[in-house]
Amino acid sequence: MKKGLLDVCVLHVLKNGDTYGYKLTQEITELLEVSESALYPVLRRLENQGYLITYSAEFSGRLRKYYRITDLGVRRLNEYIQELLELKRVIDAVTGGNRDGE
Amino acid sequence: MENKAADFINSLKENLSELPEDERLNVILYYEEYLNDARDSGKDVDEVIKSLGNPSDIAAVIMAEVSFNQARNKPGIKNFNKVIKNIFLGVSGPFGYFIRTIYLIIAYGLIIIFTGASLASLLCAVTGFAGLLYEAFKIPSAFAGERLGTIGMSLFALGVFALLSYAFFIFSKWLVSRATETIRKMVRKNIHQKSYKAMAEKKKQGSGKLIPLALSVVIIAGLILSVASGLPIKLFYIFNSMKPENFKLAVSEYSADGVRKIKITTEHSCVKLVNDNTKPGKIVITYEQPDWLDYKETSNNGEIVFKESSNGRLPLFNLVSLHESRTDVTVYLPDDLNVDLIEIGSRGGYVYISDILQNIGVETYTGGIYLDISHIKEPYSINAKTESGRIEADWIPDKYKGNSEISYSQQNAEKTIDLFSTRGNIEIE
Repeated sequence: MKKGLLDVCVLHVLKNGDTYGYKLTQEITELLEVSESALYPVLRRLENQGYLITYSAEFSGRLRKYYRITDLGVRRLNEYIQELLELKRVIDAVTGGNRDGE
Repeated sequence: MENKAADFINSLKENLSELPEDERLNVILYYEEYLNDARDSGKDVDEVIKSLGNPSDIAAVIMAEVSFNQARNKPGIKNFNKVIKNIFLGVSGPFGYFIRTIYLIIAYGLIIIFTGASLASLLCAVTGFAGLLYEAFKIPSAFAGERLGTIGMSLFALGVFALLSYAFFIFSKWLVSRATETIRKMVRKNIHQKSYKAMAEKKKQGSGKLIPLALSVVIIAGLILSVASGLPIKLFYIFNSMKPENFKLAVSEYSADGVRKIKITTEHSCVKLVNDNTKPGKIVITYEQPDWLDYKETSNNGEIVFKESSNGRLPLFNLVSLHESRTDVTVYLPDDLNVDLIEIGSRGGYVYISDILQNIGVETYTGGIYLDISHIKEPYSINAKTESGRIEADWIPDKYKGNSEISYSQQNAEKTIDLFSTRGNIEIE
């Protein structure tokens, strides 16, 4: 469940603007308690699935890779959010039940 | 400090040595950039490396992810092997190992079996097609119908086996993706599943329908061709020991005077030697000739020779002629006949001898031999032998019987009957 949430968080952060690996990791770790090294495979997968694209830009004499969400990614994010809202409804209804729904 | 960063990157490189070059470069660039950005934002690189964790763990997760992707995009044995190799890198606990191993053995076994079945069917398709096509072009061009029918049969065989091969192939691919998906779920849970499925289905619709459709067309075309030629019906009649619907009846008559030897050889028509006195002093031979067989009959210097041969009209004749054709060569012999030898040979037909006592030699390959000697009064000898058939002659005392052979002789016997069959049964009454 947590790793699925990681996808939502990445797409959510990218929806607010393009960013690069280190900054993205910092923003995610504020949202979610997750190992710093967990992000690379997630980014790679999201890229393979067409939810985000990458481009390089120069920054103080070296290249930095930036990540940008695609239309498909935005659609996927909205689907996730619907799923999560549904989950939240259930959790609210079953107060005191299993917290993460697994 | 800088050394630690270099060590980290080098270790990562080593652990990812099996990745494709561009994929590995991607990882390295990501982490180099990551460490640079961390340092530029004033972080202690030592601390950052510590929080990133062990390079071999990072590599294991990436390797597994990459192999899942490969197996999903191209489900085959090779990519499945990579999945198997990589998933154990990230397992913890003996129970996890145990469950995963059991699952792997089953999944792997099934995948191997169906991949093998697919290859075997493909081989059948190719050899069946080529073999029958070769047979088709061996048929003389005068028999265009049979030739087309055989080509039809070759197409039919090609289509059926290729379709089977394709089905096994698709199934093994499906097994690989299922197994990969399950393993992925074992390794980590993920709410992506839905989108993967949608992707997989999209792919299927693109290319999957054409091959089965084309093969079905080949099968139907082959079926129409072969059925239209009447070949399957002909073969059905033969293999069910039914008399063919059409045959020519050839009758020839010889004076028994001066005949010393009679020799009858058939491919797979049955030979019958019977006693008949409606025409005294005459030997009569009747032959029911089907349209796929030829014959030659001569009478010279006291020797009557009848020889049957294939006219090339039936495909796979060597196979077909292992089974008898219910077309008979019947030889009617008068009572007072006295010849030196009657020689009978048949590959697939059976030989039937009733109430005749002469020096007779019979040899068949798969056809059976039936000898009825129960009404004969004069003394005789019988030798019978078969290689893989069996001999039935209950009335002959056991002391004349060996292992699959009989050597029986009565006192003062002048005439001998020799029976030999390679694979047929011999019955003596």
